Amino acid sequence: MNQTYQPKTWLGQQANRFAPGLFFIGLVLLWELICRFGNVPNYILPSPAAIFMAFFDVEFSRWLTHLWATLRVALMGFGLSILIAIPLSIGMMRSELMNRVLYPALIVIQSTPVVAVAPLIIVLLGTDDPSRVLITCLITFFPLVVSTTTGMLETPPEMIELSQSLRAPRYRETWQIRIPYAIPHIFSGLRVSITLAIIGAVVAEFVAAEEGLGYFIQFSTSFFKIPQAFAGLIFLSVISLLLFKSIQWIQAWFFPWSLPKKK
Amino acid sequence: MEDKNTTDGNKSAYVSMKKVGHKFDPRPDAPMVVQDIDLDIHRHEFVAVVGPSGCGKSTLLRMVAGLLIPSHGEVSVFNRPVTEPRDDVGIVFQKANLLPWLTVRKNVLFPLKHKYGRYSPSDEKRANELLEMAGLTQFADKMPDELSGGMQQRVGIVRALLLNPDILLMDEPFSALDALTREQIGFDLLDIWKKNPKTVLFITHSISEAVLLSDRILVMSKRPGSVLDLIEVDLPRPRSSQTINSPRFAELTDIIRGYIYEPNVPA
Amino acid sequence: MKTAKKTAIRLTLLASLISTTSAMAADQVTFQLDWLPGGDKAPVYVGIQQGFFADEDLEVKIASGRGSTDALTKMATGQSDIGSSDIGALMAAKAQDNVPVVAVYPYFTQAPHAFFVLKSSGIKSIKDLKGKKVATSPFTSSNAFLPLVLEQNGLSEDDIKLVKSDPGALAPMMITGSTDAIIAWVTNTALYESQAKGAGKELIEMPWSNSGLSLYSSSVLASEKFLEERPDVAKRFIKAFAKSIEFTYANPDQAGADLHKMVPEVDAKIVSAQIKSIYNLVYNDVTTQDGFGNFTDARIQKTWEYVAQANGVSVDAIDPKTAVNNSFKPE
Repeated sequence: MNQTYQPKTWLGQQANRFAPGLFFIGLVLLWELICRFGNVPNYILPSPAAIFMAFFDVEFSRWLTHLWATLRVALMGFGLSILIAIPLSIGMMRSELMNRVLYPALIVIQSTPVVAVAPLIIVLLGTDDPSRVLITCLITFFPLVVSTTTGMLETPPEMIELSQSLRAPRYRETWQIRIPYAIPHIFSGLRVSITLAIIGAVVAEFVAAEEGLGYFIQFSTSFFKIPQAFAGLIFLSVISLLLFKSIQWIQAWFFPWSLPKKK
Repeated sequence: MEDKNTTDGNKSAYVSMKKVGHKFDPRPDAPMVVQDIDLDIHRHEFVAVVGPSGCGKSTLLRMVAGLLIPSHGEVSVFNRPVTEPRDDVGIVFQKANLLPWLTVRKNVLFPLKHKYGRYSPSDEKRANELLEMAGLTQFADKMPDELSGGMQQRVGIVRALLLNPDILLMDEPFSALDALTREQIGFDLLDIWKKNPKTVLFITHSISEAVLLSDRILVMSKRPGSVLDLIEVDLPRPRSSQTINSPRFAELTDIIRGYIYEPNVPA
Repeated sequence: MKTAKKTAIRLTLLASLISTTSAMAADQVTFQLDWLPGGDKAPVYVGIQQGFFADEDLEVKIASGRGSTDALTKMATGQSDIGSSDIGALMAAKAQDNVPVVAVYPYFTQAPHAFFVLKSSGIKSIKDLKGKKVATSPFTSSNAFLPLVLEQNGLSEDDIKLVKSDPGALAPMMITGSTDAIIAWVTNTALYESQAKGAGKELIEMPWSNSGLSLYSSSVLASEKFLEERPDVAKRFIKAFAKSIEFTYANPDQAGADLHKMVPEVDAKIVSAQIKSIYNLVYNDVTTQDGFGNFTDARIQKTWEYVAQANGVSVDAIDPKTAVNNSFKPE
C-alpha cells in the first residue's frame, strides 16, 4: 500500500481535503480567463459566466419540465432493462441452451448503433415515451446482463457443492447463493447502466421528443444559443452524477456487506 | 435427532471404498485421477488423507459426499452404495465460505434455510448450543468479516454440524490459516469431535496435522492417486501440545514424510 | 329484472355521456414539423393561438421532426396526419418508393438555399466564388442543387473548394475566416446576422432563387390515409392553415409572441426577425403571378426536373403531378 500524503500545516490539510473541489474551481477559472482574454466568442466556446447567465434565460419551471422528461425516460428505460436483464441472466446461467442461443443475439443487439434503428423504433412504437424508453433500455441492458451473469458464475464453487450436498431446490441455489454473490457485480453493472440511461434518453430525444434536456440542447443549438445548450449539458451531467451516486447509496444502504472493505 | 454415539467403538466398516477409481474424461485412454483405492472407515473414526497436490484427495472426499460418482469401483456408506448427495454428511471446505450477507448465527442455520426454506425456534436453539460449544456465542450476531480467519472456520465447522451428520468431510479446512491458529483450531476440532463423535474424513497437506488429529492416515501417491500406506496412529488420546513432543509423533511423521518425498517406495 | 333495469339506465347514461363529449370534442389533427420549432414553423402555432383552428372545430397537436425524411416517414406511417416538409424530398421519395403522402398546399414558393458571405470578403455575386472555400453541412438538401446553381452561373464544382462541417459550426467558421462562404437556408439569415453583428461583421445573403433555381420547397404535405378517411377535416385544416400563414407574415411580431407562448424557450424577437427575413420565400413573383396557394403544373414540373437532376434520377421516373393533390385547396 502506498502511503497517503499527509500535509503538516493546517492550511495544507485544508487544501488537501478540498483538493478535488479546488481543482474543479481552478479549471472553471482557467476556462473563463481563456474565454475573456482570448476573445473566444460564445458560439465557439461559451464562457462559464455566459453559461451561468443562460440558466436564468430559461424559466425555472421549463428547466423542471425538461429535467423531468429526461429523468422519467431514463429511469423507466433503466427499470425496464433491470426487469429484462436479471431474469435473462438467470435463464442463461441455468440453461446452457439458452446461453448458446441468446448470447450471440445479445451481442448483435449491443453492437447495433441504436441511433441507426431509433427511427424504426419510432415508426413502430410512436413518438411518445414507449419508444424513448425502449431506446434507453436497448442501450442500458447489455452491461447489466454481462455483469449479472459474470457475478453469478463467480460464486465460489464450494458454495454450489454445499447446495448440491444439501439437495436443495435449484431456485434456492439461485436466490440464496448465486444472486447475492452477484450483488457486487450487479451494482457495478447498474452504475454503468444508469449513466448510459441518461445517454439513451438523450439519444431518443434527438430522434423524437417535444421536451427533455436532449431536445432542449438540440433546440438551443438550432437557434445557435450555445451557452444555453451548455447549461442543458451541465444539468445532464449533474443528474448523471446524482443517479450514479444514488446507486452507490442504495448499495451502501441495503447491501453494506457487498462493498469492498475499507482498510 | 438421535445421537448414535456408542462407547464400545463399533469397528465394522461404516464408510467403505472398494477398488475405487475415477477419471473425469470418459475416453478409454484418458488418465485416471485416482485408482484402486480400498479403504474402510469405522464409525466415529478419524481418518486423515495426506498426499502430494493433485493426487485426488479432494476427489475422494467428493465421492463420499455423493457429489461425484466414481467411474470405477464403489463407495458405500453402511452397506448402501452412494449414488447421490447424502443427508448425513457435513462438509467443511478449505475456505470457511461463509455467506457475507448473513450473521454468524444465520450462516450456521443456512443449511436448513437452504434445504427446507425455513427453520424452527428449536433449530435456532440447536445453532446457539453449537455456537456455545465452539465458544462463538458472543459472535453469533456479528457479520463474518468481523471475525478472524480461525473463527470463521470454526463457524464453518459448526455449520457442518447443524444437521447432525454422521460423517464429517473436511477438505483441507485449516490450510488458509496461519500456523499458530492452525494448531489451536486442531485442538478445538478434537474437542468438538469428542463432544459430537462423528466419522471424520480429513484431507490435509500437513503431515503433523494428520498425525496429531487422526486415528489412521491414508497416504496417497502422486497422480494417479493410489494407496501408498494406511498408518495406524497409536498416540494416546486426548492429544495436546505434549503429544507433539513425544518420540512416537516424530517417528510417525518421519514415516509419512518418507512416502511423500520418495513416493515410489511401496508399502 | 331489477339489475337489468339498472344496467339499462346506466348504459343510457353512458351513451348520452359519450355522445355529448363527442359532440363537444373537436377533431384531432397531428401536425408534423420537419425540424424543431422556429420562425419558419410559426404559422401552425399562430393558428392555434389566434384560434383559427378552433374556429374550424379542430384541435391541433404539433410534433417536431428531425429532417424532411423523418417528417415524411412519420406522415407515411400515420404517426402524424399532415405537416410541413420539402416537396422535393417528397418527390424524391415517391420516385424511390411510392410513399402514401401528397402535397396539398404550397408554403415556400421559392428555394430557401443560399450562399452567405461576409461583406468584408469582397464577394458580390455567385460568380465571385471561383477559387474560394465554401462550407456546407453534410446532409442538407442544398448540396444536391449546388452543381445546378454553379452551372447556371458559369461555374463548376471544380471551381470552388467545398468543405463539409456541422451546421452549427458554419457561421462561426465564416466569421472567424476559416471559410469564405457558407451554404445554408435563408431561414437562418436572422440568426446568422445576429452572430455576425456580435463579432462586428456584416453579412450578405445570396439566395439561389435569384440565380435561376426556381422551385417549390417547403409545402403542406398530408398522409393519403388522412385525406381519404377525413377529407372534411383536412379541408378545414388547410383553410385554417392558409389563414395562419397570412396572419403570420402580416403580423410577424404577434407571431413571435404566439410561438413564444407555446414554446417558452423560443425568443419572440428572433422569431419575428426570422419571419421578416423569409417573407420572400412565401410572397414573391411566383405568388403574384400564380396567386397564393396554387401549385401550377408548370412549376411542379420544373421543380421535379431540378429534383430529378439533383438526385440523379430519370425525369420519367414519376409523373410529378402524382405528388400533388390540389383538391383540398380552400375556395
